[in-house]
Amino acid sequence: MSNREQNPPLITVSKLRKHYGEVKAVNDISLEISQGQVITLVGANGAGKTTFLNLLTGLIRPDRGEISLLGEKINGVAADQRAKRGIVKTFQLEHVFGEMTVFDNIRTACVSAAGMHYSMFKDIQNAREINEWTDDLLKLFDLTSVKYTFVKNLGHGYKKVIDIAMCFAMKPRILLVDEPTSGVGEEEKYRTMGLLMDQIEANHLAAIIVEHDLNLVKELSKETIVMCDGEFIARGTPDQVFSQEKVIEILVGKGF
Amino acid sequence: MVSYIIMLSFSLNFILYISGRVSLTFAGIYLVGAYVTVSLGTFLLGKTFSFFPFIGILFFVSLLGAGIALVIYGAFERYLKTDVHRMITTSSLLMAFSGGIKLKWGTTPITYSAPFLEMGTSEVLGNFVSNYYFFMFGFSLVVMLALAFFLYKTSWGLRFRASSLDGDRTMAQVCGVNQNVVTIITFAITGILASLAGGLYVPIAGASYGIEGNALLLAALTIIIGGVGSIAGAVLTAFILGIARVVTALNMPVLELAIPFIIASATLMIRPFGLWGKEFKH
Amino acid sequence: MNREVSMTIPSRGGRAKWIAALLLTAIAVIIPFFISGYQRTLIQKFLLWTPATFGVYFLYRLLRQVHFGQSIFIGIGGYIIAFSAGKYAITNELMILLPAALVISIVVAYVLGIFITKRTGFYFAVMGIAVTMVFWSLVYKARGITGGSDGISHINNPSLFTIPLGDLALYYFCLLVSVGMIVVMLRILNSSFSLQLRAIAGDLEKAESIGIPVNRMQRLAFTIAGANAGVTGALLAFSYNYVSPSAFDWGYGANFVQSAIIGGVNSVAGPIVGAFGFIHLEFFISTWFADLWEIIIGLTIAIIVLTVGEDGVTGIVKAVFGRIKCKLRKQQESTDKHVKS
Repeated sequence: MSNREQNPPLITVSKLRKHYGEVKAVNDISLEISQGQVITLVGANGAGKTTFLNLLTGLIRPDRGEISLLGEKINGVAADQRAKRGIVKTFQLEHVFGEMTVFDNIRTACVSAAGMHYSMFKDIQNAREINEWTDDLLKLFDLTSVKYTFVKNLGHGYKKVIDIAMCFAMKPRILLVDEPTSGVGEEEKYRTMGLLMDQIEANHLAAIIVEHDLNLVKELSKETIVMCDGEFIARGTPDQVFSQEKVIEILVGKGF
Repeated sequence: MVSYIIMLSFSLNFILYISGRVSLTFAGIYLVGAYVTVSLGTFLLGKTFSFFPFIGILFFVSLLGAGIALVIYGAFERYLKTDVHRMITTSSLLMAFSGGIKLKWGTTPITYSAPFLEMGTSEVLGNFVSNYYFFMFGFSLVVMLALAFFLYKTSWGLRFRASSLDGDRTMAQVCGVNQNVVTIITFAITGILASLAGGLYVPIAGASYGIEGNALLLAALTIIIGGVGSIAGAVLTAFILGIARVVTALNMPVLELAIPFIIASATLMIRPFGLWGKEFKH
Repeated sequence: MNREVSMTIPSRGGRAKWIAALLLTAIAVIIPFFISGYQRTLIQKFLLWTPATFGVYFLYRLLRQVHFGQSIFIGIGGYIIAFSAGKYAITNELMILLPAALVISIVVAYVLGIFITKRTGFYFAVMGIAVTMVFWSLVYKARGITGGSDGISHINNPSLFTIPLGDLALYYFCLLVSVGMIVVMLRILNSSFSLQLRAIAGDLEKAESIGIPVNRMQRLAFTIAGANAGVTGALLAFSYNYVSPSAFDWGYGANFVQSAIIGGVNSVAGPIVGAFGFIHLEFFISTWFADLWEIIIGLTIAIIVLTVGEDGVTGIVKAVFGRIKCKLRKQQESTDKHVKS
């Protein structure tokens, strides 16, 4: 109980449900996440992981259930507002601003985070604070060398990192990462994940990371949840979780 | 009244749905269909009306529509990359088209009312209504049913649907559906529907400069309200609009032309993809 | 043609552009003394046409939306003037009427924007057209109030701070307002507002997920374009002393899109060049080949889009300049080599 007092739950999910007809994407899930808590979410394709994340960010509305941020119910809050309040998600497929440079991509996130939505008369080239902030982020994520390259000309791995960098620009409280290493080569995988975990720790963020690479999970994850058919079926350290009968069945049976 | 909306909107609907492309050429083909029908009608049949030659004219007109559509496809479509380019080009061509028509026929309407007048009348709700309405409605219905049959009950129809917005064009291609053929046939069908719509409506309202603008608008609003990709949806929407039109014409004439737009705006607020539309990324 | 746009990389020839702009403005100031009154009216129309075209450019460049609806606001601005300075003779004072036109346009644009911007692409364009037709039919039918298809003529001369303005004075006023609006638009184009709009056009979901209030910003962009056209419409009404429902014809709205396309939508000079080209093309053709107007403009636009795409005339100019620069550079390199050896 004293733990609760030290770490009040950041996000509380209560009996969340999203069904698509017959398919039970998210089936009455409840979960509590505290500040600084990093959870890895694994599960076969179609288990409902992305749907769950999208419900948290507001991209989808649930059929039933409640989502609360620091005790305040946010079911009705729009996606862009939730991002402002600290729930930020990366994308599994490429969702970056291809027709702009890397610099502009990050800068857009900074501008948005600073709330400068309606600033119409200040020349953005002169917005020194924003530009410096952007440069800092670029350095943090090792993107300075490609600062002026158009994102559509960059490789998949780069785009993932840019996506993550943009999320960090939002100064999130909880970061939802949807398969950060999918489509990324072996070497890059470790580098990206390392960078990600370092930043999460450094900023004491909460995080839910969806990941398919089980080796990576075993190595880097402290707390793992296994999801299957819309439900959380196991939870614990990777060793605990991966030694369970039903989990092995799913991993081998449904195949990753 | 309602049926030409059906045909027209369906033409647009169809092309959007199947080929995923926006094209405003159908409005131009509508115009052509209307004018050609009038010309042929007066030329061949004068003031009289005989059933089968009229059908013949309609048949010819539809083939003409298909032909024009194919010409446009061959000449232009392939060079247009984005929807926006397509929109601008087709709307400009539309302008050019109607300008050409204006040149030849001027701005006064020409009519071929024989079918309308000679079909006799029946009594509906206490008013005498020309049988032509029923003919037009029945004809359109037959065409729609044929199309529906094609799309849903034949194997070719399946191929079309697989390549449409409902399905996945690349996958369909991998499965052996020739996309070029699908697109060409889609254009042809669009042409047929559009010119038929024009031709059918002519006995009621005649052909005049500027009708294509109205037609374009109506078709577009119909798919905004009804959504893309559902034949039943298009038909039902046409009914809704037709009824709304009549009701406002009787009670609040000022709003008559505005009513489709008002309904469309309302629909956009509550169901941005239309009442029967399927969600897709545009 | 792939036109990549970045706000980080400053466009080349920045200073040259400023000089060109000042030069053009200077010409516009002096030119009334060298040309006939009728030609001056044409230039005036061009001056007023440009901000409205800028509105189309704005929405296309930033949001990839084709805006057929500028004519709505031209019409609204126009009829406000027609009512106040013409039919109902309320006031002729520009200092009252222009702000009124501006405010009313903004309000209407915002309200209309609520559902016009709900969808993008095709639907946006169609809704734009639909709204113009609705206004057209309302104005056309309400004969008692608006004069129907006859329109309203006999609009009084405007007055500025109660001093009545003659034709020449009106010209300079229009010049002032136009240049002012263009400068404002240019400012906005370089702001963080525009950056976010381009992000919205780039990837809507991602934009939303980084906290950008997508709907509100789209509406705002639409409102800005509309405000431009509203003021323009008001001044156009004074310039021609006549308004009619044809201001709400969708073809009229399409004219602005066509102007934007002719000039090219990838360069800031585009709307200016396009408006100029369009106005003079329209004048030229309607004088000699009136009947062929639709055909010619339709085919012209189609050809332009098919060949140079959306870059228009400015695109052609840029390409030509680019090639010249390339050749000069190559010449420079070869002379350097000669010097070295």
